[in-house]
Amino acid sequence: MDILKIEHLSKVYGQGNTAIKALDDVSFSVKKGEFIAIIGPSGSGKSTLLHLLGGVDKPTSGKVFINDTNIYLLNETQLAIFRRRQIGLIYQFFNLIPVLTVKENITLPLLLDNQKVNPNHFQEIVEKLGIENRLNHLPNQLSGGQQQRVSIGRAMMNHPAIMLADEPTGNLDSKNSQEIIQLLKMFNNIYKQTLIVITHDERIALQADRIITIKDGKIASDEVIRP
Amino acid sequence: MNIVNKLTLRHLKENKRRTLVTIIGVIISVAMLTAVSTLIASFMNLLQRDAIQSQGNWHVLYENVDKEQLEKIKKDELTDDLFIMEEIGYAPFEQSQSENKPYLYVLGLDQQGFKNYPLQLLNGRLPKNNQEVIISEMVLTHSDTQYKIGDQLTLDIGHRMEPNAKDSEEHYLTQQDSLHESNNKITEILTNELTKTYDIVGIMEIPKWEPAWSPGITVLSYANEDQFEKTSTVNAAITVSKMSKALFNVAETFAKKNDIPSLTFNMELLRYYGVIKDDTLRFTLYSFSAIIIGIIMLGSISLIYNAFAISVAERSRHLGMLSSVGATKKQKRNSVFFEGAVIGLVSIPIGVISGIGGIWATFQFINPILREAINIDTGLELTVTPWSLLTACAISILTIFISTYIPAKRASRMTAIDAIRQSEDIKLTPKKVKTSRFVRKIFGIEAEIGLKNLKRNKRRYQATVFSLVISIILFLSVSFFTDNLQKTATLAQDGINFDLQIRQGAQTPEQWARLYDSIQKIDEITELSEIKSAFLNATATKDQLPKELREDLNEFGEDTFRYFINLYGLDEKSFATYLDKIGVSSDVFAKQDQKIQAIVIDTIPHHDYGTGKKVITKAIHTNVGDSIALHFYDWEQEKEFPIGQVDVATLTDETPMGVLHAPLSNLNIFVSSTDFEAILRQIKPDVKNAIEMENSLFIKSNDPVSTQHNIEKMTEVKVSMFNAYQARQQEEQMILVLKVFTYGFIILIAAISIANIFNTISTSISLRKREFAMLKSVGMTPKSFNKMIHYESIFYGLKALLYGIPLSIGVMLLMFYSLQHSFSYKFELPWLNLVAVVIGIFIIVGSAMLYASSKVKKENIIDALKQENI
Repeated sequence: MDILKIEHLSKVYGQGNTAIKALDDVSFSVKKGEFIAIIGPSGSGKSTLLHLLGGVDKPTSGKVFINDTNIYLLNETQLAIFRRRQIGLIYQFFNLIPVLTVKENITLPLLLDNQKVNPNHFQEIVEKLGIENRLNHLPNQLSGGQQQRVSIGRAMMNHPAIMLADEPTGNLDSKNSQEIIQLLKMFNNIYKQTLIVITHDERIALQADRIITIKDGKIASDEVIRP
Repeated sequence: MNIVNKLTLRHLKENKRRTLVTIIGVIISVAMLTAVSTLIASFMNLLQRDAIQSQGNWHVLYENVDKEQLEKIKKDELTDDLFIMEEIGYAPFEQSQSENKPYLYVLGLDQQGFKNYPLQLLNGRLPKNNQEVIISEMVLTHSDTQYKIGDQLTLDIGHRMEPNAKDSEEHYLTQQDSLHESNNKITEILTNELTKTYDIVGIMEIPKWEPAWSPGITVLSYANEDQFEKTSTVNAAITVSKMSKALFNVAETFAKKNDIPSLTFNMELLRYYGVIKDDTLRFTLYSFSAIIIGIIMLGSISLIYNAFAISVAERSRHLGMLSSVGATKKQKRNSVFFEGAVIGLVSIPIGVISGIGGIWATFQFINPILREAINIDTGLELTVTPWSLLTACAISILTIFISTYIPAKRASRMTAIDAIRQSEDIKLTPKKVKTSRFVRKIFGIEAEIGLKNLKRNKRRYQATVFSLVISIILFLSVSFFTDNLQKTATLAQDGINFDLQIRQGAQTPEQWARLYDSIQKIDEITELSEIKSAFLNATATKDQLPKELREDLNEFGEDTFRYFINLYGLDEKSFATYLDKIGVSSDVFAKQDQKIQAIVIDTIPHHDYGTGKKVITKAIHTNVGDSIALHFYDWEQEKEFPIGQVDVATLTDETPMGVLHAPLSNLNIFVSSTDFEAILRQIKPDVKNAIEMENSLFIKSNDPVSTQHNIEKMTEVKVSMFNAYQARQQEEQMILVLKVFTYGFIILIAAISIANIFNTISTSISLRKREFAMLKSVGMTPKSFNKMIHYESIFYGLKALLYGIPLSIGVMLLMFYSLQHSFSYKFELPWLNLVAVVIGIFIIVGSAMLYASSKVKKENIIDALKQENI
């Protein structure tokens, strides 16, 4: 079953002579539980692709279906609600809310949705992330690796349809990087969590099931490593 | 310009909107400071001009100086202008029709003196030698003499002396001493020292500096140094070259050194130059302006501080970068002071100009009102002194300096690593941003995030709330004060049902009757009544008393109570009008059975000061047909003199025009003037003299002011007139003037707080763009996003009200209790103003809120997410 389907996705920045094609007619689909790495040189359009998948940017043309929902037919409010229920985003710079504690940051999507937090699920996630004794700290009291774990926790909290990570290790040392990837892989294995990671790092890409290479806004190659 | 300053300038230019808001805020505060100092200078100038009008323009008067001393005075450093002022003396003026002004007062002035003594020539010219005089028009209006220019005036001149003066008192009397008399007999004496014939060369208006009570009508002659030929001494008046507190000592030392026997200072004028030590006026004025300046400074510091703190936070990356390439602490600190200097350089000149312009415009507006309200000719004139300008600038610079001090300190401590790690958030602890559980429960997670964001930067939050609190307190306490002034003024006039009151003073009965006849002919008068009154007593038994008085009586253990009786005699026509008003037939009074029929006020309706409701108090329990025995009680002799009886013809709670309700323990009794005379006839002459009696005309008019002028023109003898209408108007105008100043002040202070809250909210939002983007990306809907932003603004308002309203009530209570003697009613909260404050605060906060959310709406999530770490 395809959890994510992308059809003829294009994104053009600017107009006329200065127009830049960041994405040029990209199509592919993702099955539930797949771990995909998207790689490519700087400016190839991989971040643009991720933002379009995450519903935080709008394409110039093309469609994105998540769980058979064409997300760009939703209005802003519907899209926001869709995002908090179906998409988990992880950023290079963690992007935690500095005034909220670790616990509040992790449960933020639920709080925004006025949902009750399932304590078992929460406990399970923070234990797996190894941050159970940091729950009442503010983000600034954590190391970079710990902050990234918090943002993974936040992304996992809602059982999203897809989890998108934009250079999740770009700001971390190699030891922490490895740990983060292991965590992501673990969630991918245990919960059959669909995972799309953008990365520069060859070693990380090689741990994925499938590697998509983007070049000048087009898919240059799409190979399955582990079926 | 060094690179640090260049960066600072560029930063200011980049943040145009905030720089502009800050500059506007500083301009307002500088303008207010300038306005205050200009106002004080102008006010002092008004008082100085007023003092010159009444005292003449001189500062020190050296008395009885000879030729040699005069030369020394001329050369003295202290002397600026010098003129000769010679009190030539008093001469009897037999033709005078005014009992209080039986003399002519001859004063000699030289050419400079005529300049320094304000006077208005009606005809002719100023005297050029000591044979010539100009006379006050009062010489013509208060006598039948028809002096013309060119006539001769022969005077027997001497000095007024008080023969019975004790040693400590002055034997010689001056224009400041009214005619000394006792039992209608003049007790002072007038010497006769020289007889002189003058040529009248001009007629002037009654000089303003002639006191109304002085016994001599002014005649001015010429005096100069050729006076030496006759008396060998003159009086030399000077204005000083340098106004300072030292002038008293300098002048006294000079006089001592040169054997000048006595000298006088023009204290009233000098007071308004602020050179008198320990002067209450000076103290009041200075402490008052210190309070106002303090408030302006507090408000502006909280704005400017915030603006600079924001700027430093935004520039922290620049500062950190500078630090990493070797900028010293001093350079970083100075960059903030430089920013302050740039803001000041732009704002202070504009502020000073707009402050002066604003005060000028205010004067244009209030001067017509002020002229009527306090009876001055010229009103406030814009007075800008170097001192007032310097003070305003110095205080403005100080304000900016204080405001930049802490941000500059913070900037100097900014290290490279702090800047990269965002030092402010590093210091954040969960405790600092802790919020109550209820916030989330009641308002939702959006409100909680909003509130936490406010707490994140506590000092900025406090400074913003503080400036709003100041505005709230100022508005509430000042409006409380002015509203109460107005209330007091209105209450004071409660029951005053006439426009003009004329008291019979020095007029003979014939003059009074003539006056009455002529007043009757004035068209615009709608009601006229003559009321005679005598203040007598009557005894009442316990059961006649209202319960308030009975309690008093029990306390003293007595059985009877002595009422104060105000017995009024109304002229026949107004008596009839009064009977009509209270609905009593005149037949009752037509009964000719010897007994005098009287109307007694047994009920006093009045407004309760606290509630404003009408309350009715009983004055006495008595019945129609009862008799009241009148007597006069002499408190000195402790003796009762019986006077006669009146019968209670009717009881009422209404008074005729001109009579106010009497307080408890007083009784108002009305009879016709015929009966009044009849009662008086029963009194023995010696008792009659001891009784306080009055005779007044009360007038209602369509145009009270012109009526007053008409009456003043027709009176032969000056009457004492009370224009209730004008008093009402003047009081209202004074309050209006006060309101113009106070509300103008409040509006400007509020403008500063508005600038402050706009700055704070918009900056706090632009600093958190990335966070907002993140919140959106984890699925915050636009609605809840707006909710969060709105709550942030609402919390500013709530917090400000939470502190502002209780504090204001405290200030109001404090004012109420410290000024209680001037408020004759209970404390009451100004509900309307409180509601206005709440609405006002939410309008301010709301507009800042709309502005902020419109600013964020334009943000694209992606752009903000891409933004590098700050």
